Amino acid sequence: MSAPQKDLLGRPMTATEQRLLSAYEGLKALLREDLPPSAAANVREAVAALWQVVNDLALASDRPDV
Amino acid sequence: MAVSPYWNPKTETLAREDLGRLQGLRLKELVARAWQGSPFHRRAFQQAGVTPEQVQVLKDLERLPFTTREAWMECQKRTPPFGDMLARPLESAVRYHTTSGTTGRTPLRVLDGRADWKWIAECWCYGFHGFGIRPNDRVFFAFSYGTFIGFWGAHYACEKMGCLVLPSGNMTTEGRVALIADMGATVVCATPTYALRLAQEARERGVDLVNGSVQRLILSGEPAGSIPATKRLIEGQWGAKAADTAGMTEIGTIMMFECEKQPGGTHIIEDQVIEEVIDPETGRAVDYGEQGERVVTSFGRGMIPLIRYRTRDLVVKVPHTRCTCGRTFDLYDGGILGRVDDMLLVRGTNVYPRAVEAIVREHAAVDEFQIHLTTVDGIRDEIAVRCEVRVGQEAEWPKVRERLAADLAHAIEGLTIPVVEAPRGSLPRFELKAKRVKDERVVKGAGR
Repeated sequence: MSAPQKDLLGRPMTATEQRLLSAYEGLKALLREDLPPSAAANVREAVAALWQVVNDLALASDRPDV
Repeated sequence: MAVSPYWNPKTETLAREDLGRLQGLRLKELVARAWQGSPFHRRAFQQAGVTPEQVQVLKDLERLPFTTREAWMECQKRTPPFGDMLARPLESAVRYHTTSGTTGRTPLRVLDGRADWKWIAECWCYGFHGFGIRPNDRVFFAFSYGTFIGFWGAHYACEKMGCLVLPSGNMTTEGRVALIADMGATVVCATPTYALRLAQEARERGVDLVNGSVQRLILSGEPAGSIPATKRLIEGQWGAKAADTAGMTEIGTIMMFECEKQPGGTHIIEDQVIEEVIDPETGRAVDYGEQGERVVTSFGRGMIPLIRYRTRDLVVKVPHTRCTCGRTFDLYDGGILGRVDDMLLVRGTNVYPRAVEAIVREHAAVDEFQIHLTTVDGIRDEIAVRCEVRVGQEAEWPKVRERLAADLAHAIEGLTIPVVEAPRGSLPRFELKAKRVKDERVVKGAGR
C-alpha cells in the first residue's frame, strides 16, 4: 500500500513529511514484532515521540497504542 | 538556516478556516475514542442524545454536553481511585498526578500514557520556543516536583528542546537563589508570587539579579502573570522579560502562552485544544471581547479525553489580529482574569482579588500583601489590605499607604478599604498557587 500523498487538510505532503510519516508507520509496525524488552520499550518511546511529529504536522489522525 | 520563531509553523500560521477544519477532524476522532473507551463520556453522550456519527465538524461541538469538575469527582468517588473517565487500560499509564488541592477540596487524580506525556511536553514547547527560549538556554525550575503537575511538563519540554535543565526539587529559597547564580541560569520558571519571593531572598543575600544571567522568566500557576503591575514588578526586580502561561491539571499542560511580541494577551494553542468562552449562567457562547467562562476540549490526552470542560476561569477572547507575531491563534486578553467563584461579596459590593492585586502591585514599596475579611460586632463585614513594607522603603510608607488606600477606594466604589501595615515576615509566602485572601467572616459572602 502506498503512503497517502496528502495531509489531513488535503494539502500535498512534502517529501520530508512523507518520510516522517513513513518512519512513524514503520516504527508502529515494529511494535507487532516479538522484541526483546530493551527494543520494545525504546520503540514504544520512539512511536510516542514520532506521533508528536505527525500530529503536529497534521499528517495522521490516529493515536498510537503505546 | 534561520530558526523559525514558531515551534510548529505549519499549524501556528494556518488560515483560520483551515484551523477550524483541523479542529473539526480532531474533535471527530476524540469523540469516537471517548465513546469507545470511556464509560463516563459514553454515558454523558447518551444522556444528551448524541452519537459519534453526529460529530463530524467543529460546529458539532455544541451538540456535546459540558463536563464539570463535580461530575468528574463524583465518578472518582463512585469507582475509586480514578473513576470511569479513563479511555485506556490502567496498565498503559506511565504517570500519576493530582490537582494542587489548594482550595481544600479532594484533588482530582489523573493518569497519562507515554504519548500523552510527550504531548504534554509538546504543548509547553509551543510556549517556551514562542517566547524565544532556545537549546543554549539554562532553565531553572523553582518547583518541588511532587504529585502536583505544575512545571513537570515544562521540565520535559526543555529537555526535548535541548536546554540545560536545572531542577531545584526540595531546595530552600536561599539554595535556589545560589543555584541560579552559580549555574548562570538564563531562564527561571516560577509562579509570579514565588518569582517575587526569590527576588526578595536575592536582595537579602546580596545577589544582584538585575545585572545577572537571567534574561527570561516563565510564569505560571496564578493569574498574576498577566497583571501588568505585577509583571512590571517582577521584571524590574529580575532585570528580565517575563511571560505568562496558563495550564491546568485536567489537561496536563498549558493551553496558552505569551509570544515575544507580548501584545497584552496569551495565544491559545488552537491546534491542540478548542477553547470556547461562554456565559457562566446561560452556557451560551459569548462574542470576541466579552468576558465569560473558559470551556476547554483537549485533543492530546489518550487516557483522559476531556470534552467541553467547564474551567470556571474568566477570560476575554480576542482575534489573532491583535498580535503582530504572525500566529493565527486567537488570544485571551490579559490572560486568565480570575475565577467565576472567587468574587468576594462585602456589604453588597463585589470585590475581585485580582483587581486588588493589580492596584497593590502598582506600589513597589509593598513586598507582600493579604486581603483580610472579618466580621465586626457579630454582624458587619470588614475588609482590609495588610501589607508588608519592602526593606528600605519604610520612610515612604505613610505616603504610599495613603495613595494605596485612595486608589482602592477609587477602584472599588462603595467600600473604604483600610491599608494596614503587617510586621515583616508575618504574611505567608507561596511556592505554588498563592492564597492572599484570608476570610475570617462568620458568614462568608453573605452581602451584609
